Amino acid sequence: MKAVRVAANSSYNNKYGTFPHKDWLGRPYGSKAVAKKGGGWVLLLAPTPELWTAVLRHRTQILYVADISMVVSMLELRPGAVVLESGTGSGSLTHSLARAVAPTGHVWTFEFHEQRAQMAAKEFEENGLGGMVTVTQRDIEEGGFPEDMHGRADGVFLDLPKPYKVVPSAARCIRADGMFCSFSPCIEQVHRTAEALNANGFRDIRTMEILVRQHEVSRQLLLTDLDNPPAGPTKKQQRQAQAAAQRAAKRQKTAGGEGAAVAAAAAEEGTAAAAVGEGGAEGGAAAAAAAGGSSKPQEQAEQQGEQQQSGPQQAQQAQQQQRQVVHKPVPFGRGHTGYLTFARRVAA
Amino acid sequence: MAAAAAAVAAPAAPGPVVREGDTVIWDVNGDKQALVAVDGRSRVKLGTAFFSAAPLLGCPYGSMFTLSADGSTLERTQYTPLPDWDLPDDKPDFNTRTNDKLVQNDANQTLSAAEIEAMKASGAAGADIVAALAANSATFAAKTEFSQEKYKKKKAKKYIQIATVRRPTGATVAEAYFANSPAKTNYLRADTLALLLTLANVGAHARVLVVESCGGLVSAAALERTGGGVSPGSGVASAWAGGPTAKKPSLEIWRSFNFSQQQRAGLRFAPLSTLLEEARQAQQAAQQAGNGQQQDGQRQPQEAVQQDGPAAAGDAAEPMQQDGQPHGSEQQQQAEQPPGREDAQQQTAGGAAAAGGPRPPFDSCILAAPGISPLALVQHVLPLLAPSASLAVYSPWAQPLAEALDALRGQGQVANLALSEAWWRELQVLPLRTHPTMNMNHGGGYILSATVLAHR
Repeated sequence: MKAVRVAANSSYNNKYGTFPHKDWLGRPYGSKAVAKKGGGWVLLLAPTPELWTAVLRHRTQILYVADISMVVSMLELRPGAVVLESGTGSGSLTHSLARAVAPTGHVWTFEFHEQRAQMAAKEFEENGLGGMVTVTQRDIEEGGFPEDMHGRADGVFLDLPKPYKVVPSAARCIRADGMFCSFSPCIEQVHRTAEALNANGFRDIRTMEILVRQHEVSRQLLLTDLDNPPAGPTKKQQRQAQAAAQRAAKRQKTAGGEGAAVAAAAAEEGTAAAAVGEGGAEGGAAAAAAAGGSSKPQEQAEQQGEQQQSGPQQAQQAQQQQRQVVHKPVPFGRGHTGYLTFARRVAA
Repeated sequence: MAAAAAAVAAPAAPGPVVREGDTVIWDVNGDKQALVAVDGRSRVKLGTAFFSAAPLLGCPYGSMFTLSADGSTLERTQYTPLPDWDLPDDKPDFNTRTNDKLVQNDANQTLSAAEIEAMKASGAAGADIVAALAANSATFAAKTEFSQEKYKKKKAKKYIQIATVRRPTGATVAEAYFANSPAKTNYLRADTLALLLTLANVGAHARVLVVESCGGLVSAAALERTGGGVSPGSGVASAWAGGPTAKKPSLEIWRSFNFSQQQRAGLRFAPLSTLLEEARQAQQAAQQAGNGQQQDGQRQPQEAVQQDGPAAAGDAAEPMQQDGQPHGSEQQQQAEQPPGREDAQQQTAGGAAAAGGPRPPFDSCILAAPGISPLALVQHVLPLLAPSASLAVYSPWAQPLAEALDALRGQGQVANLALSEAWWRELQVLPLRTHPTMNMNHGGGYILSATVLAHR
């Protein structure tokens, strides 16, 4: 999956071929585009914050969909809300915050690393969020939020090494009954933050872990006739199955978040049947995305298909029909990197 | 730490206040929540009796109420920081006691039930009763400091009733229903709802299709995120299966969200068959326009029935009083016009406002009707969805979603198929006693998510 900015005179190249952008122009999002030569194809998807999270350049550790969902929901964000964020990091959460408060609200996001702040600002601008997101370079831990933010925020989100240092400043910024959230990988940070919250006019202090477990779906043939077990796979089939499993493992490592489960699931079919029919094509794909939240997505995203090994034999196909659909969690998943601590500003 | 807690934090800038006609979450001791429409006549329960809710009017959301000294009315009380963080850990014998000598025995408490009742009748404060209980417990002194705190907390919950007035939002309403009457929202957990809204890409410009059997919670939470028709054509269409004659299911939870009339106008109710007919007509119109006839594709025939039944009785959490039309109480930054609550006709019908709301194609779709086969439902609604629309399907069962994923894979209708499971654990974070909370809910359910591809 890749984010691609569309320009009429540009083209996108990958190992499946060359894709001139001008072929894409005017086509609806969700279309399949075929390479100039050969059968390679990509899917063109409209950008969303979720797809952006899957393709963005990591400058820092980022938040994933489970934590993002909870933060947006429990900060009670809605169109028109004002939210403060620090640090900006790679801007993964920022895109979702912007979607939640658009079009009349605002995200004020603060990053102490100058280069990161500049790169984030450029991305927000390119992704059409410039009017809704303001990035400022500032050391929030040392200086707190700027004074002109006092009393203006409906919500504050902190992803900092020492969030407890910022709690008094956050208390001055958040209006009565507004929400605070801090993301911390370490329970010691959480502990100090919770203590600071209790002392600085916050209540309903809650700490939680949230996780989305991806499941892989496959078809498995479970033995039912115990007296007449079928002949085992040939050596060649075994080799193919092993190779497919290795590819699956590799893909799962490289593909991000949600994409991983899909890829693994398709490959699993290959493992079992040594070859997959058209059923696998979807699975091998990875999508790409760009900005969300803006009214006019300016970027196109794409998804690239993977050539499948062809030709499952008819008998195997028939057998495939009798396989039952099963699912299990993927062995390794992303996203469980820390604790979320929420608190509500006490009403005067 | 004790000093820190005692330091009075500066008061916060003003937030939203309770206005007449607002629905509030009346949260008693964090244990019991009720959705109550507040006006001069409504009553709220505290302890075992009901009291006039009039003192709530004009108070900021987040205000706390307890009984007045004479026990006849509600009065505001100030929040005080939790004492949980104050540890006398400079004392050498702190946290040295053990419970090996404690024996569970009814005789440990020498204060009889009759004596407690007598204290209550004589007007003793809850705190005094808790102190008396501790003093008359044979085992209290031998308990560890933490155990003593827990004992006092437990008794305080019983004898000291404090209620907090909470503002209804997607998160707070979901949690209130889940804790008090989860069947009414089909056991949809707040974190799962949050995931559905994210995975379906719900935002201000979204045209959202919802099919749900969660009492309207999903539609209302989605409408909150769209801001209710902030941009033309956006909002939520809450639909149901069963053809044009099917009875509208109960989807009235939106009434608890204090939407302004303008926001409410972004929500429409319609059977799926109506939406499918609209989609068919829109396609026809587009084709005609494509044939060279100058036609405004936006101008669709308006005869399609927009069902918007009156509030179904009995779908509300006790003692929810659903006699009111939601009133604007948006306390966002942009000043809002005072809600026109005098319009009695709109109040009763609610249909006048329903003229808005999105039409197909939808670019966002949440299916939370686990009683319908997810595969059948997805294929039924696909003609309503725009290319590249985000789709999220909820079910408490993984298997139907897995089978739907298996059937949809490789068909060229959707991409990015994923099956995920929500997992949520809370922790108590306190000095020397940080641990996962005792009761973890395992029922987050499963979500199938996908991106819709262009129709071939």
